[in-house]
Amino acid sequence: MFRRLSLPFLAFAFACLPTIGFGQTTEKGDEQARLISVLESEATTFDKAKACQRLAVVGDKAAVPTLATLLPDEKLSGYARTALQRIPDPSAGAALRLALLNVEGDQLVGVIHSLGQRRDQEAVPKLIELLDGEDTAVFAAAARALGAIGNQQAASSLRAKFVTGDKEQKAVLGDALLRCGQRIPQRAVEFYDLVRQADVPDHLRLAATYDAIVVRGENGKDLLGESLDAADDATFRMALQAARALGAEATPTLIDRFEQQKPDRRALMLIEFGESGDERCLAAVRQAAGSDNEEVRVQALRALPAF
Amino acid sequence: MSRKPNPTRRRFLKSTAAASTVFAAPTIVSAAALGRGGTVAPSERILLGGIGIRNRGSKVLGAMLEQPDVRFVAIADVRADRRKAVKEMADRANGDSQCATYRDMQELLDRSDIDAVLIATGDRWHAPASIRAVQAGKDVYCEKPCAMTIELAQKLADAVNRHGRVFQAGTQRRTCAHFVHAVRLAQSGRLGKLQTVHASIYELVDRQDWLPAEPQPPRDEIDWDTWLGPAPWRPYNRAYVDGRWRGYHDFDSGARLLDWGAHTLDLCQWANQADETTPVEFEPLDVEGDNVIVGRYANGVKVVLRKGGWLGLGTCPVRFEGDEGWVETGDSGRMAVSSAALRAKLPPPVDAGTIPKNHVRDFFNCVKSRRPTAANVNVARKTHVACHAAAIAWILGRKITFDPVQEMFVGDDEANRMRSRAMREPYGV
Repeated sequence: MFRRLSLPFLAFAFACLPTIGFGQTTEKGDEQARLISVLESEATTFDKAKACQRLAVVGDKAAVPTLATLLPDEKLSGYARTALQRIPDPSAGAALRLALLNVEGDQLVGVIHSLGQRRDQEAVPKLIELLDGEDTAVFAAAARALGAIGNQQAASSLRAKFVTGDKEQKAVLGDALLRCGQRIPQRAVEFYDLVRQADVPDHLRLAATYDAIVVRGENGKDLLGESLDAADDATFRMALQAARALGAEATPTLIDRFEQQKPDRRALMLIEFGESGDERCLAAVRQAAGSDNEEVRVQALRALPAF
Repeated sequence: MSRKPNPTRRRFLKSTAAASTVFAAPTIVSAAALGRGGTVAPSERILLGGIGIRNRGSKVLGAMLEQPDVRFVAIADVRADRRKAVKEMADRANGDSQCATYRDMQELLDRSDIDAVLIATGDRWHAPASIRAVQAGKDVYCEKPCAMTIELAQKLADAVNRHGRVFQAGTQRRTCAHFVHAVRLAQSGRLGKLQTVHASIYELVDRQDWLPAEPQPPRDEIDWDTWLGPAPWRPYNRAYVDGRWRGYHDFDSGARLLDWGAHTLDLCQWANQADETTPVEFEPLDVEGDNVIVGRYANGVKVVLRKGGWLGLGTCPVRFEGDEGWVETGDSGRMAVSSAALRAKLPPPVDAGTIPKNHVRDFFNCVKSRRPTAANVNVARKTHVACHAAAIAWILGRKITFDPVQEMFVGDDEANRMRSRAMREPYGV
């Protein structure tokens, strides 16, 4: 039984009695029928909103057609999607796909998002088409949804669009490709390298490089070393974070690059050495403990007890 | 795929242990960065922005403004009065009038000079704003609860890990000395074998009603549509904007369970060395005048979430019981223990549990070192998932079984459907 419901909702729930909250199939069916009848009536927006939220938990394919009629509604579209996102029956996905053709503006953006949340594979061709539209909000929503779905077809289309897209589009598509890398491990290196080597904002380049190092594992040490040697501190710090994610595999590269770094970078590397407790770092830490540079010396002395 | 986005268990335990000492950790400020008089050179400062800062946010921001290596440069808020108040606060600290103001958080996030953001909106925006921020390359300090649903907790962690950003959940009790001491007593075996962990929670409430509609103010004064953001549409009422959104299903997290649970169940997870998992079952109990939810971890440790029956050691109390002793503490900083031997080694009360100064310092240190914070996103994910699972058990009014790996309920379709909510257009992330 649902708990602690407030008075207005209790009034609404009363209209649905005697079935609300009981788990039997027939009772659920009766409850659903009553909720659908609320949606199809002249009930208030509040009552319809609450009916949608309840259908999100108990609804099935019988509720889908009625919920779909609410998708263009400015106030109720999000409520209807709450139900359509969660009803597992394929008809809910089909209704959202159909809505791609007959809703617009913010509501279209919402429908696209819900298809991404459902990871609706059948929506991919239509979402790919939406990448060619003029509306930047629709473009961004479609790219994000394709990234969330992350199958081969979605990823290949995002990749192709990324190559030809302008810088603003690349920023959106690049993020979607990073998500695809999480979904399709065998193509992750391809996507991460593509993004990090493209003309993208610095933060996206850093994210792609971080992912490219980590996903390579032991094979990522060259890229890790290159990043540790970078002139800019943001790339160095990203590399340090990637080294932490790699764990012991990264230790030789860190030790190899240690001496050549500026003191403030060595100090940060010493924190990592101490954190790892890896015996291979001990010689470097001991030597740093005698450094003339106070910052290096202090961090080395802090690290030593870990060994 | 050899990707290891999460630390190994050994590293994890070491890092949380290290994080637990952060209250004693110094500021990481490079000597080269120090200018004359010990001030931090502008090029070495962390440039900070803020999103949605009101009561609690102002306390956290106050602690941040005290940091020598941080400069707060911009505030984004849907309320004109809050933009003005936070700008004045920042300008006073900075000694100038250069703090920028934005109604639209995206304009702030699009600034490439800003390194990190403090997010202190209501619950509905925490995860979406955090995800937007990490997608824009910012490190994030986010007030709790960080995610309105289990699914959003997952998406938030995925986004932070994918972008390699530093994230600190605003669960500052992880860096408060007395809570840390209590956790260590549990972890170290000084209480014997851990049996039960107790987490305090508010009175649970899951309001479904709407307040009466009121005339909507001009958008530049209060941008109601953006205030709602990803939450479902409802008519404007000033009370929500002034903080009376708590307890409403559409705005609050898990029937208010996460308001304290994000802190207290978090500490229980930590005490049980269960930061990488969750309880495997929850059952709400009918107890007169209280909300009691009892859970169990796979290692057999019992967890009890309850409102009442505490020793009066301040808000947000927790209690850890082993087969040889127990400890209880709360926000007052005072601790109660089961024996004279344990009492003899208690630290003196230092800071109240509500003080975030250690927590914000830990965050900024990690922004520089790129180490995981004390309340990093992987820790926060599991705590939030556990809290939501408990809240769903309470809302459904029945025992649930939970799979901590899949983060799904076992054999319970209704409960599984409650793991997510749709986000209102166009605010999905």
